[in-house]
Amino acid sequence: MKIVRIVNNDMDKDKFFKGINKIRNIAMTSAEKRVMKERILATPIKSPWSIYSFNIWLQHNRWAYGTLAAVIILVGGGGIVSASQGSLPGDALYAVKTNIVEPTQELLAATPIAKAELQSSFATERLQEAEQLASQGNLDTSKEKQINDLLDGHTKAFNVAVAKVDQSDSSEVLNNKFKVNMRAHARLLETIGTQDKNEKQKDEIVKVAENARTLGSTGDAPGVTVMAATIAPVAAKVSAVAPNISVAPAIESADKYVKNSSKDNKKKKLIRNLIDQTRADVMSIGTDTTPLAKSVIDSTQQTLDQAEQSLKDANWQDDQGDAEGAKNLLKQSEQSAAEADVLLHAGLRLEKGGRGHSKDN
Amino acid sequence: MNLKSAQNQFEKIYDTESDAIFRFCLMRVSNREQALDITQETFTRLWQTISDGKEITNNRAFIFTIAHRLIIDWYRKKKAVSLEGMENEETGEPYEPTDEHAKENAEMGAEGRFVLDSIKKLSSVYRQAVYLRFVEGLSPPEIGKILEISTNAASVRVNRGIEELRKITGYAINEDSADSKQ
Repeated sequence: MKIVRIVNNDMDKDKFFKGINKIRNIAMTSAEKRVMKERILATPIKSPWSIYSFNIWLQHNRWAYGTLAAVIILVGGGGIVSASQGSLPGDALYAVKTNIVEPTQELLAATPIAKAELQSSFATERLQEAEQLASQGNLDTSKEKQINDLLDGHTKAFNVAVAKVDQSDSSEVLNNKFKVNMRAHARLLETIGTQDKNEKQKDEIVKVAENARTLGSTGDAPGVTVMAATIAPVAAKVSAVAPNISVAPAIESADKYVKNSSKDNKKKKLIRNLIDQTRADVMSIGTDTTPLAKSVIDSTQQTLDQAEQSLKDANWQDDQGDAEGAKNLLKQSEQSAAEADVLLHAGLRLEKGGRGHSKDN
Repeated sequence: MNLKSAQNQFEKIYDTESDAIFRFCLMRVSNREQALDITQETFTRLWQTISDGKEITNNRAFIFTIAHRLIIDWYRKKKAVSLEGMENEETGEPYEPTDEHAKENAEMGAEGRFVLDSIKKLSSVYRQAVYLRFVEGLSPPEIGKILEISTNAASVRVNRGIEELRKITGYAINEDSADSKQ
């Protein structure tokens, strides 16, 4: 009986793999393949030289920054510095912000943690700028390049600072918060891109989103404290711009989250609560929204679905007796829940800004 | 990197992987022309990345990831213009005019069609993980990277997908055999 079953099993497998091999027969014709390759290789490639070479040189020369900062502050006073804060790529004061003010802030930051936090916030700000430009229809190739170059620079500086952080817990929190923010903003940009009817700008949006997603997708899922670290400040900011969303429970959940993190069942419950809370936030927005807000809501729902799926998978993994695997999936679930939260609130803020309100970072 | 060596690197990847990407796209968009377009766009981005001097650590995961995102984007766009809502974004089944598949059906034969149809019947969460594991022979870390989930989550999806696939096909398939018959 057993032998018959083994033979049947082998026959089944053979049939299955025969089918799989047949699927692998699907291919392009040789003509399609050749023409496609020729077309791709005919696309223009980027020049290694750009008008941003000076910026890059400045980024590598701390003395130049210092001198320029001193000159600007002496000549122009603090007015220019504060006026530059709301500037976007293409504005006259944008170079002051990114080449002088921010590097000076970084120089003045005393600890590696403070430096890493600053670089992380600069990187997030670059993406918010891209979002703002995109929603205004002003994101062109040169601005995309400028933002992506700066984003790469912030990430490098962030990694250097994090490498100098002694406490591994702190560096994990910093890393995870950075990645959650990158991924959430990548998703927001993608969402803006899908709404965009201008194909040219859409390409630029995709380039920034892809870069952000790449920067946010390497390494592990967030650790225990990232949820609290990410959600509480975001929730607090949102109350200012979206009063119809109740944020108190989110802050409360985030606090509870840290206290109870050692127990997996409680952790599952709290992730569940956070997912429900974000879903409740979505429901409280109402139906009278713009197409962009609708897309943000759709994307948030999808990310929440992923969080729920990982939570379900974690339970399944628990049932299989794989505690370590379940733990990793819980982290994945946390990451998606945090991403959904940042995405929803950043999207709503952008939407408010797009109606002529002041920029909110 | 000079242009010549960038081109050599690109051509090497293109020659080995273009059919797999085309297949992956065709399976999900169910339209040959569209699958060709997405394949071309995927490799255009690969070419730009290589010619830009950027380093890619895992070519397969990189191009599958790009293709995966372009397909999602395609569904979103399609959803936005669709009047009848015939497909549901990424998770749902696209509408599938059968005559467009005449060529692929001939290439696959009945056995291939049966297995592919069975994979397509899987829940959307498991479908791509199972396809990438068995048809393209990708590892769970690569699948995780492409679908933007952890390696662990990718393994779970493959295993749970196999459970479903066993019920649909009646075949005794297991995960261990995914690599053995590549």
